[in-house]
Amino acid sequence: MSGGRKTMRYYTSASYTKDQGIMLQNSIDKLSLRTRLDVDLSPSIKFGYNISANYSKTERPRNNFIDFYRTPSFLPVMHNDWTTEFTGGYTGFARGSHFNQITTPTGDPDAYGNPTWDSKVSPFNSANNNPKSVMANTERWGESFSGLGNAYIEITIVKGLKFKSSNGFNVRYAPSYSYQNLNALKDGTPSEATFNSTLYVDLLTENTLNYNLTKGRHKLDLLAGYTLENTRVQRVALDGTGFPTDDIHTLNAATVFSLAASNNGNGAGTGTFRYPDKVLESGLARATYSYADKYLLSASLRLDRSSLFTRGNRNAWFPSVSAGWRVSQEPWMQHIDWLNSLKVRASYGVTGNNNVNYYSALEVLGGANYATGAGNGSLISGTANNSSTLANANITWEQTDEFNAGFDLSVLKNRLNLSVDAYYSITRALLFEQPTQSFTGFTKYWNNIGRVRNAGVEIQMNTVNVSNRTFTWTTDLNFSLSRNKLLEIGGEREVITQGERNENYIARVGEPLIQYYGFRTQGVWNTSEEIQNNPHFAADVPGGLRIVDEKPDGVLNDEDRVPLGDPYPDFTYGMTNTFKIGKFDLSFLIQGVQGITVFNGDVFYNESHKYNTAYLENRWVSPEHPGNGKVPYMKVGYDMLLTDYPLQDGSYVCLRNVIMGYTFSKKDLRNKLDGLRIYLTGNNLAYLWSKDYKGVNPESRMLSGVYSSPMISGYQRGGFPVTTTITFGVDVKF
Amino acid sequence: MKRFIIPILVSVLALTSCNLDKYPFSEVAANEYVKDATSVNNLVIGIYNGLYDVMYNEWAMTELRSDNARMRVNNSTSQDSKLIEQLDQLVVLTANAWVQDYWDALYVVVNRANTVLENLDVVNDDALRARYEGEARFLRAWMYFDLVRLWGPVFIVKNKTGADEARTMQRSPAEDVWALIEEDLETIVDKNLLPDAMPAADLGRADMKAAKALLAKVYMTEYKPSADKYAKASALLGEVLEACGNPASGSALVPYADIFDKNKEGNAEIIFAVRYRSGNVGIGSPFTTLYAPVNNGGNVAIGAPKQYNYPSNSIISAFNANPGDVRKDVCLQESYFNKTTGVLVDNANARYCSKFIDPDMTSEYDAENDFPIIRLADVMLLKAEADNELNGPSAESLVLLNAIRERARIPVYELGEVASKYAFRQAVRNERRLEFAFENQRFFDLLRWGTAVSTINEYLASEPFYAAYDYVVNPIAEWQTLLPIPVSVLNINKTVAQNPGY
Repeated sequence: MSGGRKTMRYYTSASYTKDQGIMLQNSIDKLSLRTRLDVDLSPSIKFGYNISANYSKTERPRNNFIDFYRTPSFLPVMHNDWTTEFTGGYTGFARGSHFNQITTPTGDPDAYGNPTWDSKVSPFNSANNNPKSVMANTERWGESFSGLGNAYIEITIVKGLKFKSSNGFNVRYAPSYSYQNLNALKDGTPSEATFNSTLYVDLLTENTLNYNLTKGRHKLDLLAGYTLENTRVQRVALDGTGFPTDDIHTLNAATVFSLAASNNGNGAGTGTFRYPDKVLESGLARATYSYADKYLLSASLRLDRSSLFTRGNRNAWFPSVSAGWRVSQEPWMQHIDWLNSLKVRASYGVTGNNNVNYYSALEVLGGANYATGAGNGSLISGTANNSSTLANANITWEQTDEFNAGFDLSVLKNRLNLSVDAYYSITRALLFEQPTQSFTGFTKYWNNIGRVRNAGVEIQMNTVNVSNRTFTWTTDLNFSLSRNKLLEIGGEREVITQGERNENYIARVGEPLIQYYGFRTQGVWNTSEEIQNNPHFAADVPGGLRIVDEKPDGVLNDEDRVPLGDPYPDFTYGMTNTFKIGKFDLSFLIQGVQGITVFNGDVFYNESHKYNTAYLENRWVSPEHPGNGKVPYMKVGYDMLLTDYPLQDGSYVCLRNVIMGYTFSKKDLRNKLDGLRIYLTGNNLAYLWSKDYKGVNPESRMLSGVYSSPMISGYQRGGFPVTTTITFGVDVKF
Repeated sequence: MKRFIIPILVSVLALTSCNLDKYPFSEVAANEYVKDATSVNNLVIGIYNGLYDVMYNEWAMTELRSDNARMRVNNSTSQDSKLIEQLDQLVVLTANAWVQDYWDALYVVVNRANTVLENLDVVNDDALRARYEGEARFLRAWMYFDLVRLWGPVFIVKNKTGADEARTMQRSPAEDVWALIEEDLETIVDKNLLPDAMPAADLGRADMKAAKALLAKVYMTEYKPSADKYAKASALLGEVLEACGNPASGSALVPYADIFDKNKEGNAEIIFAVRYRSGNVGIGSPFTTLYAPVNNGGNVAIGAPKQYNYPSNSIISAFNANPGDVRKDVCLQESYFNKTTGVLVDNANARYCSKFIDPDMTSEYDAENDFPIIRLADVMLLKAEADNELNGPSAESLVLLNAIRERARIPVYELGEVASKYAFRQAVRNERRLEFAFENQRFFDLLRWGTAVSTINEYLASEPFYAAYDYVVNPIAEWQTLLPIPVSVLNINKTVAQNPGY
């Protein structure tokens, strides 16, 4: 709803959404309310506010999607008569552990013909319960309340000179809780409830003084401002066990609480309470000038101060200039009638990045306890720097100088529109978490080293292929290409970083910012003799991957590692075609990425090699049945995550979006409604990826934890599959 | 207009008064913290706290690589199994995550000890200052002792070391590491930094007995043949035995099962232990969960235990050589009783290391049992060993050896049975294996005696488990007794020398 009078305008809206995901126990309910008011108190004073309140409740399954294809599909979800008898009386959910109790005679019969057992692993070996059983015994809920408010006042001091102060807050409270029944995940896992909450408080004030002058064909706009942002986060985590019954799911029934963060390497004791905050203070000035809308000039300067850095490293200046020229406005261009408009533009600017963890510059101590005293001893509190990150007081802003140039062109009565942008940037003092020698007592530290060059081009083209009263057809094309190169990295030749499975990424001077790094493989080892007669690792066994001796010295060691390709695409592209025939419309978007290599972390899972045919077909089984000589047997031999084996071609092309609609005319509606449209949309109706790719979604990437670093990317694991959705909709206006 | 300007200015000023010097609420900034004896004491506790991470993986670097323990099943390909298999067969990858974790954990303790040693000046009380210095030096020496035994030449870090300095550092020769260990421990002894016993409230923190015993073991382990190393060790061990009342018979000792009883912690046998505390306070012992049988249905321990450190056939045979040895039942079990079904489970899946099992544990990885590092029997057997190496068998040495056997309820030796230096040496070595099974001593003992390669190869060849693999488990060579320097170290500095063979 919106409306108002001359001196007052309002807008308010409310919405409710309910969405069910593709998995069980996966839903979201959302409520939101937004309201906005603008009031002109007098010709020179305006004020207003903008408030929104949102609530959402989300249910998320305990299982990742990948748990489904990590489960043997030949085992039933629920016991049937046969499995009940086979496992000795179990009923209900068929859990992996029920089958674990069965010993399978696998050795040769003994002298008396009795079966013998050797210690071979059971074919059913999984302590984990099947995902349906896990879902039935667990619940996970998250709620979020957020309030956003912003009030401003704008005062015109004299004509053309305005002061505006805008002050706002963004407060979000997000509690989440979970419960799992006894034995929910695997036999022996306790009844457990968790409660986590995050309180996020962000305060922002923006104050600007704006001067506007128009004289003839000259236009001048000056702006000076000051902004301050304070962000605080409070995190609380509680974990309770020892429930008398699974009928009560809240923490009040827990008898054991894990409050202290664990220090004994076992992950138990997840309780935490943290309350970090930070401030960003900025001053800015900007001048914009234009002459006859033909020549456009702009310059700005900004000073940012961040509390994340120590005194002396806190400030950074960010200047920028830009210029534009509407060539087609020149009198001498007016007679070219096929040209509708042409604009060329160029800019230079500096931007910054202060994205580091709280207190990365400061050495801090936390709790580190021990037990002493007679008998069982008492808990004695102690302190230590128990972070794995070494403080670095010297860190400061990362800065990027970027040059941009481009043009916009419209020709043939605006039937062909072309926009081309080229950019070139140098990032200095690259800010990232770098590994350090762990004999310092720490494994990583934030540091500013390195320079990276980025260059690329983006092309957008729009054509109106057919346009008449009954039929229009337009095409939008976009294409982008980007290349980067590491120019310098702290005087070193390279920096190697590690992901969650110890897989390596290398940043080497003169090459792309990062590349996958590890061993190149040449198929699998077939026999023990073959291993003994060739350079090999002590851990190599038949059926395992055979590593190439890249540094041909007759021995395999870490010096044989080489860069294995980068995680950046060769190019990306998209095309939208829109057709309108009378009241019908149809549009479809084809989109694709070409020439990208992904690291498929599913190789880590034992089950991938057991149940995913992409890893099973043509595999080595024995020297007599070596398969195609390329697919290893299970996970035997050298660690596959350190080789090129998990690297797969992540290129894809998809029919991203199709919209079909019918719009009723006013005549059809007999003026009873303002408008009515029915439509059908489909997402990902067709999706093609490379034969080389063995996962379920080439677009999925891990982005959290170590993967938030720009120096570690291209890794996926347990991705959510590409989902196809079809939506039917009716849009009514009245 | 005034009525608008003022509230605006007030709100702007309120926000701009924010200070950009942000200090944490939930931690304490180190530079402001260390100011008195209490804060240094807290930092000393912090060093001990670092031992938990060391102990978590130490069994895998030592016991698992020896002939006492192995994997439970072969041809399993789960990720942990792969890491265990590498250690079990001594074919470790340079990227082995557990080796990395263990290396990191040792150096975390070293760093915390260095922090204490660099901040002693704020402690005004001389006695306390000496004690804190002694404890820090003891713990640092112990960590370097583990490092040099498992990796040979390592990085010597004696001061707070920044990332830039660390990047170009090289490994120091093993001699220098040994020298540092000796210097730390000899300083404690020479300057009398530690009391003979800790006050009751501090029971569990290192005292002079622990420092002397550790120094004696260092002397006896040092790779360089030195004429007086056994003599120096013997003298120190004598002093420790003196302080412990010179026990001369089995009955003068704490019964074997009581040493590890969680209700008798800090008993007379314990000279130094890593002390755990259950109750979900973050410092429980993980070994019940790591060692108890998988799928035991709560009959041995709750939760989903791992059944790591699985006793080998070889150690079982060694115990069975002396019927009635009370130590066997404490160290390992070959069956458990299923209370639900009333059946005795005695298949291969029921064998487990039982030394640190807490049947009353209420949440996973949160057992009570302390883990002994140095105990009286260790000192007695080291003394007997040192004296035998010095002067051959003696009645005094035999008393020490026989007291251990008497406590184990197995026949004592007559002097005639172990009359030669060789026979006595073999008797002590065999006794140490049984006495300290699963206490992370065996692998270090084998290294000390120079018998690691032959013993492990004989074991790999004779244990039927290894023959059941789909491939040939190869005998090891000398280089495999050292662990690889973690690849992460070489990733940062390619000029660091890797251990030979890796």
